[in-house]
Amino acid sequence: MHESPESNLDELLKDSLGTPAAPDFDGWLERNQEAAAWLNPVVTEMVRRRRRRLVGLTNAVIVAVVLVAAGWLLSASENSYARTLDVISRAKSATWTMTSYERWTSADGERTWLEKSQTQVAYRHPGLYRVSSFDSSGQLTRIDIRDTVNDQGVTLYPEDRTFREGTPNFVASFHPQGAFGGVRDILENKSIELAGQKMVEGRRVNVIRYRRPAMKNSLRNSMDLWIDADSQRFIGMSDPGSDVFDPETMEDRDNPPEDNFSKGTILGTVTGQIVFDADLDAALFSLEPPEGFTQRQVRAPVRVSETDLIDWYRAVVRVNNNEFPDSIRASDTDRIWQTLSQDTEERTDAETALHEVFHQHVLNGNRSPVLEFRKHQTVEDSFRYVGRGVRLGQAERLVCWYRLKATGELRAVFGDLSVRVVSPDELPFSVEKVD
Amino acid sequence: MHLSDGDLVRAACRGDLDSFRRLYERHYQMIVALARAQLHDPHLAEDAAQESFAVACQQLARLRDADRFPQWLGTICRRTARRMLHTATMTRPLDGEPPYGGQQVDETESEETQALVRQAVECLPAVHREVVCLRYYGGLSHEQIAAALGITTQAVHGRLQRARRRLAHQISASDLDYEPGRKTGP
Repeated sequence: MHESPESNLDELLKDSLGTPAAPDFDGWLERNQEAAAWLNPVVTEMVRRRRRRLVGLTNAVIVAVVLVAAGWLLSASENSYARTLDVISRAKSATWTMTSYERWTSADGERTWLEKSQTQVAYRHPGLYRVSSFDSSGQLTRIDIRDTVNDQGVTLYPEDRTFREGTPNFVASFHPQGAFGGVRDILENKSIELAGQKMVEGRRVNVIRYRRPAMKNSLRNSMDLWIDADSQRFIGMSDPGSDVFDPETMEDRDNPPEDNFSKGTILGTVTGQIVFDADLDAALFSLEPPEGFTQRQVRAPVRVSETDLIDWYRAVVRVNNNEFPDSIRASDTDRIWQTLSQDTEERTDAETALHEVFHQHVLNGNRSPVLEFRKHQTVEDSFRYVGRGVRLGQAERLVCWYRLKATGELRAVFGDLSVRVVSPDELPFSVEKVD
Repeated sequence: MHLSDGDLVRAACRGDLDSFRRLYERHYQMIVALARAQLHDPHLAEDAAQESFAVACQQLARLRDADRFPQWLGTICRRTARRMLHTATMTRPLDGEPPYGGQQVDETESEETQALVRQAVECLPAVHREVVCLRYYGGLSHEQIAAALGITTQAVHGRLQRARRRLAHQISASDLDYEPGRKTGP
């Protein structure tokens, strides 16, 4: 049976022209990230603003037309980034959670694992913050309440039901403009970039990346802001950004923690679970300690004396094969750090002695005994450490020298742990400041 | 739920990448067929299509009538294809290399037929060449072609009829053993 001429030609044309490949959007997106970034209303708004500024330099009529057009565009668009800022600036209260991540390394240096601790923050206008800190086991350790307008505060310690007055060192950074005022500043005034999209708390978010100019030489200078792609609400942030810090993809995120470790490193903080205009009881921000809480006694600081300094060096040297550490910070020496960070019952006598001395200094608030001695007992810039390579017992070898604040004496510690007054001529170089 | 082009464009302008994905997948065949009508080479046509979507992505916020997205995208595609054609014609082929669309030696009869049909399509006026590529290369229906070109389905039908008559005449006039009513190929 004859085919119709039309169907013959149709088939011929189809066979001759072939068919195009199926659309591959993912492949297109991979090659055109820069183009896709233009879909972000933050970027398009910035482009619009730039364009308006350029036109506004030429002609008042053109400026008027462009301004009218720009106003129409902004009013017509319900979801420009202005909405993000509006929610933040209008919020009279907010709550959010900050999760800090640390990477710990096993004692033998072979394995790592992540540990996280949470801080829950509540904000109430104007300038009231309540910060609840939890340790890695989820135990509430302290509550800091701060009135940033009147610069007052109180810290509560639920475990022993004590409190301390005064403005504490704050975990959560606050901004004069209120909760997430810093985020507002970034979106309004800083150079930012679109770093793709991701899912956060079940929502697709645009990742807005800000690089801090003050940290331009650091690999960790980024900060990611997460803005809901649909609602334009501010969802959270990561500091640093996912270019260097992403707890969801870190290979050791599921590794079990170990009792012994050699070192710990702070990785970053993730902020999320943000609720704007949360219903918060004013009593949460009261600076009056709860009933039953007693005030902690603030002890006068215990300073590291010269005797303490010698005792410290004695303990350190004994652990370090009778050698003085390479630098002023004994913990810079692996052997010393390992001893100090280990929590084990299997210690030598020397290690035990070092641990006890160190523990006492920590209780006194002096985590670095030599540095504390230098800071509080010696004239500024007079302390010099030259102990590298010096062995215990070498009475003729200098370990360190300094000028005491209290007496003005120039004193030196020697390899046999003796201490005496010295003259500048006995020292290899001057301790005096050069004007 | 079927979303119109206008809905998808508006959502994409709000940063919804998935909406742009749907626009891309919905209109990719149309765009690559339009590009093929200009460029003749299928690989170049795909390059032009992808670049057209990139341009559209960057300029989407400027599209005043979101429902005219296909026509607007088609305009971008034609401009992109013309620019690529201009660049391609300024590049001389290497010695021994046939220009694109040229015949290879040792073609089978079927391949020779197809090559001549392609040449015949290339010789059509642009208006006819577009509808032919949209219909037979892109696989679009008359309604889809009408929406892409901003014309009526009757106009699409008329253009296709005229294009077929021209093609049939050109193919018959060649040395090709083509007869209306007889299937070609082995």
